[in-house]
Amino acid sequence: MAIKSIIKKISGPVPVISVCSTLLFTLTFLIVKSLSEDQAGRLQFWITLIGIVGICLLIFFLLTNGYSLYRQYSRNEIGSILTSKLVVIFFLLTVIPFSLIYFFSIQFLNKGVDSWFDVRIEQTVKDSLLLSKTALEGIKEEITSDVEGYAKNLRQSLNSGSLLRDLDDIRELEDYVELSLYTDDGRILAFSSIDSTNMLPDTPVDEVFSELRLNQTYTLLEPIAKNTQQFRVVVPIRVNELGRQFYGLQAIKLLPLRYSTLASSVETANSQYEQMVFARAPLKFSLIVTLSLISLASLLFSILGAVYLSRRMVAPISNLAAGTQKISEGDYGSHLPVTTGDELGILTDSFNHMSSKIDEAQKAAEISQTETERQRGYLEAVLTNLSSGVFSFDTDQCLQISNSAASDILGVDLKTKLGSSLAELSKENQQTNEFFKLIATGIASGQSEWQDEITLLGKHGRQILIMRGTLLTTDSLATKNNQAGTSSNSQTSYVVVFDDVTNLIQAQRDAAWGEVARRLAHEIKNPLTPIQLSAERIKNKLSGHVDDGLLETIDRSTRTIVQQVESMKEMVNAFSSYAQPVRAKLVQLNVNQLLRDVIELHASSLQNIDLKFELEESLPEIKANASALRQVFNNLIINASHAVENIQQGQIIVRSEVASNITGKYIDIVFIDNGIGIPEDIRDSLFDPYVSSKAKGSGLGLAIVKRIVEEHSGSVWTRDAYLDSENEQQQSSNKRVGTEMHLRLPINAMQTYRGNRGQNTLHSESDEKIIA
Amino acid sequence: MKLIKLCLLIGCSFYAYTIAMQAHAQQLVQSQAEPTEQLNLSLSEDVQEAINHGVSLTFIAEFAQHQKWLFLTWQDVQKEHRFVVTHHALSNRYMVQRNTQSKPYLFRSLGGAMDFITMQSLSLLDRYSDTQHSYSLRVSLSKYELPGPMRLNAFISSDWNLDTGWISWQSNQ
Repeated sequence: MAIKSIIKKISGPVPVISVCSTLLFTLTFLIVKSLSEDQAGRLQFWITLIGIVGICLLIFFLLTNGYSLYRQYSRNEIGSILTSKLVVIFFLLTVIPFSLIYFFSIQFLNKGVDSWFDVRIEQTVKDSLLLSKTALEGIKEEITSDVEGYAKNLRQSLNSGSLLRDLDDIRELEDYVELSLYTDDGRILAFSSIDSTNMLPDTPVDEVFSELRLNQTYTLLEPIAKNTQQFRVVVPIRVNELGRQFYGLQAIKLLPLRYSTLASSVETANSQYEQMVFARAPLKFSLIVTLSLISLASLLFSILGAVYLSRRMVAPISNLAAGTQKISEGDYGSHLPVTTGDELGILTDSFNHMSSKIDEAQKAAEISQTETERQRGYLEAVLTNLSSGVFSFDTDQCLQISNSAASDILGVDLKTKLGSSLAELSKENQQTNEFFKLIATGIASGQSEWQDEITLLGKHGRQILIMRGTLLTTDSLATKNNQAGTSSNSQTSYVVVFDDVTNLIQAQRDAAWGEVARRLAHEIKNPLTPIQLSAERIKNKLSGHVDDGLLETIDRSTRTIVQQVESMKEMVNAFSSYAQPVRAKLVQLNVNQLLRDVIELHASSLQNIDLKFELEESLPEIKANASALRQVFNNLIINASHAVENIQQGQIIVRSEVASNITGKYIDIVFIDNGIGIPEDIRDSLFDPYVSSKAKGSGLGLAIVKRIVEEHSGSVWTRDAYLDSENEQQQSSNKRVGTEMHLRLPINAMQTYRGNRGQNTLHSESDEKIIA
Repeated sequence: MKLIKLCLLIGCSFYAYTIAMQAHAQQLVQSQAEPTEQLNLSLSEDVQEAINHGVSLTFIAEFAQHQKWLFLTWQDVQKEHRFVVTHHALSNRYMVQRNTQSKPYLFRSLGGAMDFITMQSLSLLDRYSDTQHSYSLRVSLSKYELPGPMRLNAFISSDWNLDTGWISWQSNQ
């Protein structure tokens, strides 16, 4: 990781630009030095080395950047594609003209170097050298001739004592630098020098003596310093031709300054020209290599520059793209860095402004949504706690809102029907078909408010519903929007509120019956005793005063009157008990035990009946009036036994169980028989007084049952029962058999009667058996 | 830690290089008995042609003493003599100038000039060596002092790689 980090750092723009600048500078210096004649070879070597290393570094930078770009491209990073495209475009824009320039530069360089060498100049230089040689040859021959002449003269005086003086005379005469005489083995015999401090002469090399042995004169023009040349002439002096003994006379004479300067100039010019001609190919090679290095460095620099420039150009766009992506993902308020002051900078700044605005709007929307949710929750709480059913329909008459009371009243789970249209709701349930049709009619009427009443035969039996519909329009909102310059269509929605008034009406009816019963008891019971007493007095007064026949008639009539009066008293007492409320104290009561006790009392009359107990042992105790409930159970078991008394295989089931719904926990007591069932004509008024299917019945049994149960905050209802397979077929054929009497009593005495029959909606298993 | 590793790597590399150089030099001494032959440089045709076309060649004779420090051994150059060989067109002689200040020596052939350089280089031993140390001698062409246009070619081409390498021996004096 550390190495990657270092590579990333050194591949940054600053190191690369530094390397590139250094490289271009050194290569430029290199080409200047290549063309110059300065002795800067070592510097040139290092500059070349730096150039090569620099190019390697540039290639390294390019590879690292290229690899980085490839990784970004393969990872689909934002901006990598655009960067790659820009790099390719910059690369093409650089390479194509660069290649052309490079090609023409090479051609120009070849032609240019060749043009430096002119044939005429070359010939002139050669001729100059030849001319110099010719001129020097003349001087050389003259000096040689002089030295040879002096050698002949000195041959005569070799053995004389004037040799040294002769040498001095000749040297001074001919202006020689040095004149010396050697033996054939190279020993110095005598010498004379212009420099008196010279202890030894300038001795010739061995090759000179080799030539002397061949009796040849040695003459050579020798450069001794810049612009200084001398002639060295060595002449053999034969003293013994056969014995090959000889002496060598060497004369050294400086070339006159004018000749020497010119000769040196010609020599230097010739040497330099020859050198240039020879170095033509290496010069071309050197220039081409240098040009190639500079071109390569420039090209790499351009490509790297293209990479960095592309990245720099794309960076704001990439940031914008990333920011836009963040916003699309819901991350609002992201702030992008503004790195440039150009149009991209302005764009980035605008994006930041827009992002901030969106963030603010989003936060405001969230606050608004929270408020809406809160309001909605509040509305739902209100609707849930309403005892009235509430529906809301949109413009397309689709159900939008339905509270739990609506489901309870109708006995249909409407939470799953949200979004359904009125037509769909009407088709789905036959029981509520008329109800939703009535709503549709109300909406179709176009009235802003409408009210109606409907009687349904639902799962709870006969129900009387009163509904009120209201048309809601958004005209006011639309008006505001139009004033603000926005157009919006006005929308209409409908709210329907309905109540189950069955119990209310029933309560009113019960109250009326109670009043009737109380008045009857009061008005009828009072004269009954005088009637009875009068009848008995008539019997007593007339007995003994009439004959036996008449007495028997009076006695029979009196007995009839007394019996009828007693009968009327019983009837009046029954009315009284119906009209009087239960005033006894409530006590903890085990309902199962009470049921067993009541059934035990009727054991004799239930001998031929198949009686079954399905009592839930964990049934909790409730607070209730035991004697009142005993009367209730008595009435119900008597009714059930009367219903099956003419039925073969009569069957009665007594069941107790715990039930619960949204209003609390209850116990259900059910008496089921497979008797003759409830006649159709008294079904709706079964719990009303004086309604009975039995010939001798008073019609007050079920009315009293209902009153006692309701005074215990409970409810009672009946439905058809099917106890065997035959009955199943009858159920499918829609024929009623048997009766099922339901009592529901609250476990908690504080629970109050809500007057709502939806309390038994939890009995979904048996709901299927219900036929209203 | 990485810096220490890098230093160790460089040190080991340098040590290996010096051992290799020493072994190479020893090998030369053992395989060739005559120093004159070892120091003689044979010039390629390109080089000869260059001289004949007026290019001056500078040969450097280096006299070095072996130095040791811990496990490191290197050549400490004590003396350096330069020989510039040029062709004198007017006299058609090869001119060797030693250390620029001396009077040039003229030779009829290039071989004679190179023999002269060899002998002059060997004279460094006689002049500076003693019995206490090991010495090395080396004669090489200085490519840095070639004319500018020719340097790059000389650096690349093996024809211009005129170098005897370090030749070591223990002085007998």
